[in-house]
Amino acid sequence: MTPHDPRHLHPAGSDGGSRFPGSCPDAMDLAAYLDGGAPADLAERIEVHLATCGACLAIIRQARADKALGDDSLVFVPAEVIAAAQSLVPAQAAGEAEPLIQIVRPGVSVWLTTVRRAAAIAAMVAIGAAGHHVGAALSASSAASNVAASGNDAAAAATVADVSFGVLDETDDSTAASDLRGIAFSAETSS
Amino acid sequence: MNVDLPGCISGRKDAWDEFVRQSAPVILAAVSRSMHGRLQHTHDVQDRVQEVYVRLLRENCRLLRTFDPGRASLATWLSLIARTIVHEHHQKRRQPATGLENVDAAAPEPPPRPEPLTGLDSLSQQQRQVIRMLFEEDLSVEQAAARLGVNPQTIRSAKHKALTRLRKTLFSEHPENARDDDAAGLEASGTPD
Repeated sequence: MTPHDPRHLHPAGSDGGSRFPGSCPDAMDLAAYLDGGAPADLAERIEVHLATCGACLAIIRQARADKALGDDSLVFVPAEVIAAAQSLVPAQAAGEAEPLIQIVRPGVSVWLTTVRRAAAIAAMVAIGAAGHHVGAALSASSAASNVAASGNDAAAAATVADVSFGVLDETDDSTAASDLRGIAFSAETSS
Repeated sequence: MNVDLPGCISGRKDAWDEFVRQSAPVILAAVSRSMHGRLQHTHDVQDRVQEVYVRLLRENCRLLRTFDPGRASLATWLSLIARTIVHEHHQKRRQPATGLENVDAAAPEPPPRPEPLTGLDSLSQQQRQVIRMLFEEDLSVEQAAARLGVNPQTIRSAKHKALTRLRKTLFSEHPENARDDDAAGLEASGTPD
């Protein structure tokens, strides 16, 4: 394990009596040292460590030199860099469904997402069915007598298709409510 | 920086966006100066900047949770994390690539070589001894004095001089000019400065 293994950025904060033999101080200790806020014994330990760790020494030297340059908060950052970092946390407004693409947290979150998706699809199917029935009622009022007299199922189907939302095809028995393909996206009629 | 870290940790989008907006200049400056010695907006710099934010969010914001505003400023802490990540990236690039077919046959990793004691080399032998006893063996002043057969005040004096010299050596542009005012090393009388 090199002195700068990522595990050295460990969560446990170091107290004033931490030892650093064989490992490096964490970022919080070094930041306290740089800002002059480290207690005397911690500062001494860090300085002894810096005498034996070229990597930490280089980092601290750079940081000290850059601090002397002044305020970095005015440095220009390209908009795409900021946008990319901000997008690491997805938008989640109150009342919105969870985004479909997100850092997956197994367990309850996945189950709730699945339930919400199923509810959304069921709502779309219901809307499509309602639209079909409205269309059927409209066409029946104008051509119902002719259709009934001729007994022409094909003509009835074409008439229905003309005024329906194109969601459900009455002549296609295989298109069940559970068939999600093409629902709300189909623009074809059964002519 | 005036950011809502608890909000970021709890996953609030508005808090995170504001944190990024305020911290990006500091992080980019630290990354750029570490990589190139000056401000440069290369793709490498931008990649490392993103890596910093990914690391801050990783494992349920584990790193962010360690920040203590009572000990240091957020800007200093973020700049150190950024510099550490750049250093890790350089270390990985220096390691030779191993083909998959050679993984099983690869020799075991040799033990890491000890870092050169360039800083301690600037101390006298007695000062190095005191520093090692106090900071590596973790002896108390009294224990170190008993081992060396000297007055505890002698140990304190040697420690103080050693650390003073160490600071000069570590942060001086010309460490070779940092003189040792205690060339005689430890003395039985242990006269403090």
